[in-house]
Amino acid sequence: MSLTPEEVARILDLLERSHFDTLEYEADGLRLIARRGVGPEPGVAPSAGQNPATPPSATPPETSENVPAPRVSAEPPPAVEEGSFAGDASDEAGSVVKAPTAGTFYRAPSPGADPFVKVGDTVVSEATLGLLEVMKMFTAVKAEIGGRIEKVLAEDGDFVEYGQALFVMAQAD
Amino acid sequence: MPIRRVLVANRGEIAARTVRTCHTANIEAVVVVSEADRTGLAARLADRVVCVGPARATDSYLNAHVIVAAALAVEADAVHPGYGFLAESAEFAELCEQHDLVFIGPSPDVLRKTGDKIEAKTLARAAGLETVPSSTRLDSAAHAVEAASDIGFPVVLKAAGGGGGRGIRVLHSATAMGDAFQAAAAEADASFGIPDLYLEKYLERARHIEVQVLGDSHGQVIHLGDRDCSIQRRFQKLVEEAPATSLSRNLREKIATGATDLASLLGYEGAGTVEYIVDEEQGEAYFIEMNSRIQVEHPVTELLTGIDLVAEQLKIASGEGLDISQEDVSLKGHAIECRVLAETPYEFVPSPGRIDCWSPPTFAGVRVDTHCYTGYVIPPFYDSLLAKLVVWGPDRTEAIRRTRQALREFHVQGPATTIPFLLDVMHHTDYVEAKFHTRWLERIILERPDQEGVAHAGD
Repeated sequence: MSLTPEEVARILDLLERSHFDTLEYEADGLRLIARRGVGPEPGVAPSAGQNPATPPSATPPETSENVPAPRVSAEPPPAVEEGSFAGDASDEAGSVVKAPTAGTFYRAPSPGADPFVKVGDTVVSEATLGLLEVMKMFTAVKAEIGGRIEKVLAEDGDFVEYGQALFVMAQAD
Repeated sequence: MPIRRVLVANRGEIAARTVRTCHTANIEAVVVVSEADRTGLAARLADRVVCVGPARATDSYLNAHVIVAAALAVEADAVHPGYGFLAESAEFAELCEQHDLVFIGPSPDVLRKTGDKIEAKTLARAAGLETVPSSTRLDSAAHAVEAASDIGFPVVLKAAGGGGGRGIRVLHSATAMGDAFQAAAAEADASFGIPDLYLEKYLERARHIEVQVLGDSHGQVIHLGDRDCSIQRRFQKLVEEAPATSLSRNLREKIATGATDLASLLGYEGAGTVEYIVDEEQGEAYFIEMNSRIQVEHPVTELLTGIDLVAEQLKIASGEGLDISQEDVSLKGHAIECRVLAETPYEFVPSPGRIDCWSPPTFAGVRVDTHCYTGYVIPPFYDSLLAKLVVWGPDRTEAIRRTRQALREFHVQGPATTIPFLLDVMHHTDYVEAKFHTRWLERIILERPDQEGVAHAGD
């Protein structure tokens, strides 16, 4: 089974109008991942029989019959400071992004995918920096201001508290 | 299954008290807090603290999912829900079960049955308890008027989805029914998420008397005596005592047996309380509801029996059978609890803010359950309970004298408290002679703030 371009467009529209940043749809061997916001998208090698949909919005969806192979990252893992159940990092220069809810912190939209951001990346205001999950319910961690990611203070999979410092950002000039 | 680590899902004095009992039993205690409670006493005493949300209870203490997530993250074995908040939430208990967390309390099924106040009465009758004449679930104010006429005024409108004095309105005639129905339904909805109401006959000169029960997973059920909680303002208890006075021996036995029979019928596990309204003139006790949680006023029972009810909750939850039989339970002396609130005496206007000096009484027979300390800032987001002053004496007269002394030595600087008001209650001849009922506080003390009947002429 595959989705028609119109169906994909409808799904993207639903995502657009919702509060969510990521949508994952999986059924009958088809996996659709749609993601809002800027940042590098993992490349997907087209496989036989794939019918790439025309992107109706800025972020093209990925459709594939097979789950895309995880991208091997050539960069070293980003610097992560000791931070689980930590304080508010009030001694940090720059702007601190705090957890809007308690929950399990994820740096990437799905297991094995590239993280939303790494140290050194520049993001716009409202960009998704990570996800917080509580009982399979996801909330996006967003940058309040545009700027550069200076530090990542929690690790992928950590349980973080409400208000816990997750990222330090330097304001964009 | 031994419990090694408990997640305390509550705040204030009960959270501090639960942490303390866990530690006494060599069990680790992790406390969830809202942002406003990071500096609370429970947080200071706990082994670990997890901030689960902002001050608003809906986003923190009532957020079942985030609390369970926190419990799993800290690898707790069990969750203690305290009282209020999610303590009687079947959904929360179920969520715990689904995630292999022991919920310290009865099963979701029992919570559902006792949580539905109409069903609870049906079950109580099945267990042989008397109930006041009451209606079915009410569809409308018109239905309520009809039911009220059948039952006979005065009647009381009550929330079907929960107790604790919320969503209650007393009516003496049908005229105010429309407004009362609306207001009660709104309050019930806000408190329990269920706007459903029912009606009961209202007994004006009655006492609110309840029985403490304990049940284990082996089917054993015992009672730990009764308590009188008639001193109420707007259906909120202010002063409680144990044992209840002026109960005939027959009636005392009857309510205790009724309570254990109901608990047995339910297969009740944990600590619970069966509440009655007692019509002294008729010499009859009517079941009104069962509270499937530890209650605020549990310390009076603890002082009489020497049994730590929270410790018993932990033992029961770990699968251990009760190691106390009914014959082992002995009730010695008399205990009185005064709820010290951060409210102005008599007007009961909330008074949050910084406690500049917190100096509670401490002498033989005096127990103070509190989360307060000098320098603590009382957050404005939660209830106003500062402390429970619980005093024991070998008899009621002595308990009253010691309570007066304890209140005189209870110094709080900063917020206004109800201590002066409590002192007046302790000096009132009606209280001393145990001549009160559920409307007494409002009618006698509050409608007459010039303190008719109060004698401060020493002890």
